[in-house]
Amino acid sequence: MLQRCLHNKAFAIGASLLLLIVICAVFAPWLAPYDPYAQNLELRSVPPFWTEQGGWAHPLGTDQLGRDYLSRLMYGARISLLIGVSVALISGLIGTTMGLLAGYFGGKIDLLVTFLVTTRLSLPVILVALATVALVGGSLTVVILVLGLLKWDRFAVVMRSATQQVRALDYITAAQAAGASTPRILLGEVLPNVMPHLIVVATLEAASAILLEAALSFLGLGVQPPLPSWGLMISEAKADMFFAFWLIALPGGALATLIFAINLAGDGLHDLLGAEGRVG
Amino acid sequence: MSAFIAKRLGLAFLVAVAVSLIAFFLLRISGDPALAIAGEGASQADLDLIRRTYGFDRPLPIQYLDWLWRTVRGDFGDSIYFKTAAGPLIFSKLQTTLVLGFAALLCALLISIPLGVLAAIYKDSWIDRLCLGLAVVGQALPNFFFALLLIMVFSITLGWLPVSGSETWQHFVMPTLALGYYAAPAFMRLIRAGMIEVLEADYIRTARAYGLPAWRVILRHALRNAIIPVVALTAVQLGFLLGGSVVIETIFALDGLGYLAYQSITYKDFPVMQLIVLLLSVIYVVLTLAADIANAWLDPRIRVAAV
Amino acid sequence: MAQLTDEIVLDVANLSVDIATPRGPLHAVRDLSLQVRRGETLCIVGESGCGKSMTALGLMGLLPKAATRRVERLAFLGEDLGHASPQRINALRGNRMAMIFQEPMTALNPAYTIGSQMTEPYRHHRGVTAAAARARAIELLAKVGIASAAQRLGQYPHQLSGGLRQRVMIAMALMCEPALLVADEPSTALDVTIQAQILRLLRELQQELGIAMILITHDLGVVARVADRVAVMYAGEMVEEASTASLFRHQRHPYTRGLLSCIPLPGRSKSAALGTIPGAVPSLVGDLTGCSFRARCGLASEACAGVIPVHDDGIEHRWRCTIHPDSIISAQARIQTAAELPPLSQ
Repeated sequence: MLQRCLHNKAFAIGASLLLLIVICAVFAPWLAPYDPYAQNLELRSVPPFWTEQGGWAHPLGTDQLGRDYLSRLMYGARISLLIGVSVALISGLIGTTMGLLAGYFGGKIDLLVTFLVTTRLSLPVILVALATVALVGGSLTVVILVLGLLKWDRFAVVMRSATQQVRALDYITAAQAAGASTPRILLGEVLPNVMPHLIVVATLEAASAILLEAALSFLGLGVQPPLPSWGLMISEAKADMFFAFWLIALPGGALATLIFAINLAGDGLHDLLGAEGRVG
Repeated sequence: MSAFIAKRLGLAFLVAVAVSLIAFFLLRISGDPALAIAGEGASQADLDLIRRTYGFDRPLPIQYLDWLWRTVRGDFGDSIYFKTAAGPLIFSKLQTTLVLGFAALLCALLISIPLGVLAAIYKDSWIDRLCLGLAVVGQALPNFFFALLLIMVFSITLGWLPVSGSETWQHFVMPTLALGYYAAPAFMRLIRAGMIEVLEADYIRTARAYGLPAWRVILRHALRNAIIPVVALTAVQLGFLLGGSVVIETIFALDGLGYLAYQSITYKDFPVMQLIVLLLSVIYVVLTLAADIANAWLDPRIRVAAV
Repeated sequence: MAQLTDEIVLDVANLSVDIATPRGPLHAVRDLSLQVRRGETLCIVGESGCGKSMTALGLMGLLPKAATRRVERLAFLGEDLGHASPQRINALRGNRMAMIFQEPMTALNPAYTIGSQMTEPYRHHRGVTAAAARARAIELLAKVGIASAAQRLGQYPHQLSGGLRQRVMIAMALMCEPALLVADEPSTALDVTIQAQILRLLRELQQELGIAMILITHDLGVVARVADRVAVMYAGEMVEEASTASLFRHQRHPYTRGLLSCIPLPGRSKSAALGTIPGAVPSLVGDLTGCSFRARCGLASEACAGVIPVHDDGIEHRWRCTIHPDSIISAQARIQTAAELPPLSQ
């Protein structure tokens, strides 16, 4: 099984990259050389080590307030990953429940869920998120909640069609004939078999949530300073773009790398799980 | 076909109503319009006066119906911040955003169609892997970051294009690229998948058997069938582009609906916020409806019922 | 009776088709040779997987990407096509050599009208005006027996039945007045009642227009109906070739005899069991030597593992076997002749 995973190049590369980032994030308090919030106004905007003025004291330079960029990037990874995981969890819970119910029961419940999904798809997500955050006040928690409550549509759609396929299979009928209760069937028989689809959608949605949070923070309506959200870091560095290009290049590159890793791993998972998708 | 359209129309209407509910209630629950009008540090007496004047003290459902009724009749209220009628303000900016949206869509299609077709024809070759690789990279790059990179290269370093404003067509080049590139990978994958499937079909073999030149077989026979789902996606993506333009317009200070939305959100301008969300949603519903109908129309098997 | 001339339309010598598989090259067609004359129908008959479709595709240059073709000589109306440029072959395909396929339901593009699909190759090859092409299409649709032809031109494939679609395919093939028509199981996918109509139509058109036709089938009944000459294929090789009458009178190759004994025929004594050919088709991958039929042949000997000679009895009856003709003709080997099969409508 692990052999298969490693043979799939997309998954192997993506997952390894992702693992690297996760390790940096989880162990940031021990790995980061400095406190990401510690300002040093004498060492403002020091370039990274590969330039003339740069050095190894601050390998990736410092920002406009003298904070070490490497440390901020590592702590930024925590924020991005936290956003990705929690939004995927919340929206996944909502969307999967809706999808399972719609796919299993069909009829009016299906109509209702389809209607809700269509309505949700008609909303301009960024605008609604922006507006809500602006009115309630920006913070990490608010961003997570708002995105989690908005991004369930894909889960609902995919889980619905996956459940419909599974529903028609024999062992569901067998379980019903044996008198198993509906929640038991849903959780015990249906869910394990739609799990592959769930995982693939979860990875895609996590990536999408990370990008959305970055955009919100970039516009000033997401995570608030002094938190080292990568989107926020890019926004703060916008004005000095010409003189201190690394200040936007590094967080931007980090974002791109993280999303790239997640998408690659997700694509790989999709291929891997597609082959052995149906279990039992 | 007309029964199909009627059903879709009915559904679209219901969705529009649901969206109006959300546009209204979500914003009202999140924030206080009286506070927005009065500003920070207003006294309780001021707030009460404002509430009575604007009718904010009535039950929310009543306020909603009142707002809906007035909106449907064309009375869009006034912008709190800009102190002018909200309707004309919004519609004057709509044109810019529509131009941007269509240009970005065209940009995305111009990139994705050739790449998708090539990837399908040379499936599993290095060309295919390159195209798929480009797709993954494209989707990984945040659009605001890409926008800044474009500015860095084309405005600051090369000085070819202006950074902000919306006066000339040059002002639209970078925003179009920054908005459009993100939509390209989705189209490319869809076209690639569709073409791969279609190229296996018997009627392609028939076309080859009749000595038709390769370009004709691919474009006229294969692509014509593979493009059907793409048309539906086009309408959907246009909706996303219009909504997602807020970030791009703000970066480039493009005077469109997205920028106005950003401003109205920052200044807590409720009437404008509500109206923009409603407008974009309705546009989206209409686009989805058009996509459904186009989808059905393009396939003669649905358009012309079997005898 | 067909007016046979001596003009050879298609002359094939040693055609081989290999398909690349993970386990090695699969020899779908091996050293196949045949000739077809103007006004003549040659049937290639064999069971599924014997390589007959690959032969047809190989002749037309329509093989899938994984397949490679080798041919010593492929002469069409005297012109060498075996080593001609793709452009030249493209210019001839759909023009002077046409092919119709087994599945009429999927062979037409669902997005375009019948008229559009019929006129497109004609206009491409001949450069005529739209009106002229349309007129010719109507003429041919009428010829294949489709009523209200002008109306049909504006219809889409899904609006026609299977039988009608196959008639359209035939009309389409005739647009550019081909000298050669290759038909790959044209009636197999149709209802039984329609099958006879289509076959009769093909035969009539072929004789009227003097076209050389190669018709591929697995059904000996079809062979009896339409063929002037028959080529029997087994495991990628041609094992016997003769005129129809000659083949049904006496079969030289054990496989052919086996095939004929499998057919239930009226008048056979009830106690005689229906014949079967035991065993299965051998694998076509890797190096192949000797006769591929020897594992299932009741008359096999050690000589069958070596090079198999091709016999020719001088009156256009050839077969590939080690057994000398005089030793096998016996009362049991004879079966009813073509005279006792359902009559051909001439």
